[in-house]
Amino acid sequence: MARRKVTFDKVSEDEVEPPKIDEIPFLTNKIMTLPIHLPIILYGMFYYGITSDVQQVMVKGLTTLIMAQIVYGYLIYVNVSGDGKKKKNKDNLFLLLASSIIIPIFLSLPVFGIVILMGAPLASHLYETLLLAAHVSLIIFTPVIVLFKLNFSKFSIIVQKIDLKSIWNNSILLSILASIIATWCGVIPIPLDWDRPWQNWPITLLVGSYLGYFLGSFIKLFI
Amino acid sequence: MQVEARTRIRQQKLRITFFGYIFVLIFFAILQVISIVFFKQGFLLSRDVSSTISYCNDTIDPCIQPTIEKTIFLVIDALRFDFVIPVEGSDKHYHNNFPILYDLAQTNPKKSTLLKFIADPPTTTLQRLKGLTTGSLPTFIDAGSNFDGDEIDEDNWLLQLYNHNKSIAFMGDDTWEALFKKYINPKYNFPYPSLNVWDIDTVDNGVLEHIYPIMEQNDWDMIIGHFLGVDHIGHRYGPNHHSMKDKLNQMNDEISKIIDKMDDKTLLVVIGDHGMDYTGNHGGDSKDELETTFFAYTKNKKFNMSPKGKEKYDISNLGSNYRSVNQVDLVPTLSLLLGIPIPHNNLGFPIDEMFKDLKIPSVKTIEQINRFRQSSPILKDTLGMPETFTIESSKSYQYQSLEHCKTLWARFDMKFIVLGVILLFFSFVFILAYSRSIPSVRVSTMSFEFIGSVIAMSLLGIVLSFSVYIVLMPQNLTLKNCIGSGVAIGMVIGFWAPIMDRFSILWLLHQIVDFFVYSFNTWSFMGLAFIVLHCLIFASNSYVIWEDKMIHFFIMTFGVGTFVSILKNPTISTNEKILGLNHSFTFLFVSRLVSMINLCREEQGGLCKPTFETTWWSIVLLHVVSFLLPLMIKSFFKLSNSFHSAGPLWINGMKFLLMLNAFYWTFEYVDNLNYFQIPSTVFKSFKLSIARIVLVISLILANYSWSRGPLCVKIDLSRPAPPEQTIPASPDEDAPELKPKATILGYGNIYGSSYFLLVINFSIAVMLVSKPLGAVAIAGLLIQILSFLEIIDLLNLRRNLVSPIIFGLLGYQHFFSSGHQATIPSIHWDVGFMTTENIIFPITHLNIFLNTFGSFIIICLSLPLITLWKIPPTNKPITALSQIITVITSLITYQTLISLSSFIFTAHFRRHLMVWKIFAPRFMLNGLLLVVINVILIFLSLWFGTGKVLTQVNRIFGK
Repeated sequence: MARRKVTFDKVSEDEVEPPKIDEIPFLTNKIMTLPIHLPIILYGMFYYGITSDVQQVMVKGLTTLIMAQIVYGYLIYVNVSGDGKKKKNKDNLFLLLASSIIIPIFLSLPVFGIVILMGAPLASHLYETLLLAAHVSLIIFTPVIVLFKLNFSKFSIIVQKIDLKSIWNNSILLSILASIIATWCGVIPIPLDWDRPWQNWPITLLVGSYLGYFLGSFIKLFI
Repeated sequence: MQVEARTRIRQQKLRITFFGYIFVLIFFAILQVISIVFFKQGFLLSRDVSSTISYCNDTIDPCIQPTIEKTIFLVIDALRFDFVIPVEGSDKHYHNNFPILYDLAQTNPKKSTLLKFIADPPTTTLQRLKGLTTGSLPTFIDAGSNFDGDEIDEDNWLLQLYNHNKSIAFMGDDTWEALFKKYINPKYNFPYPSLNVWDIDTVDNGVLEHIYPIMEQNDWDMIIGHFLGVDHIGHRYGPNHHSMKDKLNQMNDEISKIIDKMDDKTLLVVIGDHGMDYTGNHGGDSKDELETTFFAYTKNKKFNMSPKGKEKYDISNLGSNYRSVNQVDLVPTLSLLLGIPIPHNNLGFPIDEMFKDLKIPSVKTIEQINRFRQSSPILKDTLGMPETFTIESSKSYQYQSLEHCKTLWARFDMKFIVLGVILLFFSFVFILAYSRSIPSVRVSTMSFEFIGSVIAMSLLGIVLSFSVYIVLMPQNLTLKNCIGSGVAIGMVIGFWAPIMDRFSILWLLHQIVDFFVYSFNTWSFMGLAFIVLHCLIFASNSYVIWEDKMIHFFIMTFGVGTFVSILKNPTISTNEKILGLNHSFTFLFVSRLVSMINLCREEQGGLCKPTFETTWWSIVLLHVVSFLLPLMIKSFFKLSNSFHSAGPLWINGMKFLLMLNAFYWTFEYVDNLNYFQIPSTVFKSFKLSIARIVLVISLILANYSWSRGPLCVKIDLSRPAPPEQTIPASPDEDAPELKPKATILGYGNIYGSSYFLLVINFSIAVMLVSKPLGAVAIAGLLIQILSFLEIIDLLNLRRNLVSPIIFGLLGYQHFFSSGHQATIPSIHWDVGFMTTENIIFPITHLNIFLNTFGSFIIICLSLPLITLWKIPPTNKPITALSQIITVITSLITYQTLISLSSFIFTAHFRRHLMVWKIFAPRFMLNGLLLVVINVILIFLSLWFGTGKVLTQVNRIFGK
């Protein structure tokens, strides 16, 4: 089997079909691609005691998340719109799935930077913040990479003209936005003087990112 | 000729519109001030002061025989309890340096007693002195008058001594003199100024100079000495400073000297009036501020104290289980020992250790408490006297009475609270309609209708309320309050009459709906979300405590939003995009950096590490900033090609003044270090002159020169000139080809660059009084403002709701980052003495004002730049003006809503455990802020700043 390239430039290669560059790929089967693994992993992290040992359990959760995101990525890949079966055979599935994990891991550094900028503690909890960034980055970037099949120019064109309505219409983009907003809202319970173990940094943000993504996909089942 | 006339008419029209706006806003500010005053009156209730004086009746109720003849009563200000007990293994400067009190109490328990002394909040000296002499609980409202202590009109033991023809000698803190001047023997009255916290020794040396000669005299019965050194060291350096060690050692030596010299008939009492927190400040009600010292000693052979078991005096764990008594207990103790009647308002109980037999003293005390309760209409018949007179039942009676009074005197006057909230709500609805619902074109033409109807209606309100007062004579309503509410209600009606005349409520609601339908985007959503969340902060004490972090989070969210928006915006060219991303990143980065400067409030506990300290690296940072900030501002000016004529002049001046500022704080630091053994007076004169020079130049000279209208433009004579920047030649002038074309450099930012010079003037003054790290934070604020202005220009946010909101949030962010919190102890009183040695009315207060509200002054001043930054001269100055009015009133709306929310929640939580610690100071800050923001916006930003810059530019360029 000859090695196939993952295309970075769709316009130059595709002569037969007219390029639908500004059309956002969408999911054809929303039940198959429901990210049910996210609440399960989240529950698992609480089951293994994230409230008492944040670092260890977050590492454990991260490894599980990587595995689950590969499967989730594959499910998205199978159910994504746009290309026929023939076209799909041309894609390098292994490279796509591998990069959908590796790129988010690298992108977790900028995410870490943003979290620090937004006011995460600098003097302590750096490792926890980094782990949070890795979790968030995997949750929000893996589906995007699979959805756009590493086609960055298509991605950037769509991003430039995207509006709330088209995000609302797309299950994955909506989930990502919901995940980001829910992570943002995750800071809200921290200052309360309830002295609960789950108020520790960064558990609430982690819960926000997991549940936000899941709920974003979940409500699209009905709407 | 015709052109000239037209210009003149246009200028006149501009001036009329301008003053129309200003007067409407002034009336509006007055309405807000009235509503704040009403709320304050209801919330910060003062206690009923009964002026009845106790007396002894020789036949029915004789005074008990005095057990001591003479007393030396020494107050050591802010003597926290752990300063006087041994603390094993502590190397803090404030521990183990004042051992004599504890040693005496150990070696001679029959003749001396050392107790923990619990102050009642508020822990400010004036309130404490009132409590220590009257035995009552001075309320919070008195705290504000600490700057000019009122004469006391309650019964107190000084008055009783005076009535019994005793002679009182006094030396030390002049608060005593303000309160008790009548009772002090004028021969022995030696007051010293108390509020100059940078002066550590004058008061103490004054006390020591006079106390020994007086002790040798015979014509005194009571010597009162009040030392201030410990308190001032706390305020100035914090408790853990080597001068604290010296001061405590000095106190130790002097007390032992006094003990040596005093005779057998004398009782020595040494107390602290309050403690200090870890920063050395006080005023609140934390444990460290409340716990102070009580010590009594006598050589009298007949006088024996009755100590309790050793286990009661447990010094382990900084004496947290040591036996404690209340400060009010001093009053009956001293009165009974001296054989004078217990002051009428006393709530305390005699201290066990000081009496051999407590029976008669306790009977006397509860009789007095009962008399007091019966004489007060509110307290009457609420608590029955114990049926059997045992010491225990008396104690429990006194305890219940004290607790009852504590809850009672925190009672609120709901009618004023509700009136204040309602008035503020109406002012909010008006300003909302004024700023957002009514089209700005209409607003500009309606000013004089507003003025007319407001004046008419408020006059009507005065007449009506006055006649109501005369005819109906309402009880429990004074004339002032009656007229005040009449005026306020009249003004509300006056504001609404012209609006109702032109528009209907339905139409105004439609305008709001239209806002959501047409001009609603992500940015205005963000702005609204920030307003709502900021208002909700006051619903929980946890969020009020962590407000600094929340504000930072909002600003960073906005910053990240701008970053993403610039990145994905297809209409911006690549060069602009890179520049914009750079601005956005600068905004974010500076914001994160300054957020690391913080002062922790006590409730934040161990989760907050305070960084706001004057250390060597903060001085170094200040020098770096004083070099970098002018460079940064210069580069921003160069971006819009405006670094010409007035620009370099101002920036160089700024460089010079900031350098002086850095030197000021270097001298201050070196002086505190005490390393070179240079006498303080040398530094003092240097510092005073630097501070005076900087303030006079920045606030007076620079503003005067600015009012002459400096422009940052330059006429560039060159042949190839870009056509859009040239002034089109007049039609009657021919042959323009031959002459070089004149290009005006800086034409595109003519208002903004000139206006920003004004911001620089005030920033320099604020930076001087803000302490080194505060100045660094203010420098950050300037950079943030400039990058934000560029972002506004790039993303076209000029008319968006979010821009004024972000300015407001920046003000809050830098309020916190320049070393403030919404608490009373975090006010930097000490900066009041930067320019003068004593308190001189406007100057001392000006410094504290600039320090506390500095960030808000700067953001209010910069607010018109949202409209003015990077626009070329316009022929429609009235349109620009009306946009500025929209921006200004938007900020006022925002702050009104914040204040309204905090008023409502503070009133709602008035029984909350934390109300005096968290909610009340925050509401006071909000009330003050609303006034400050209104005043600065109207008089500085609008009248002085915008007025000058618009007329100046339009005089030159307007056609």
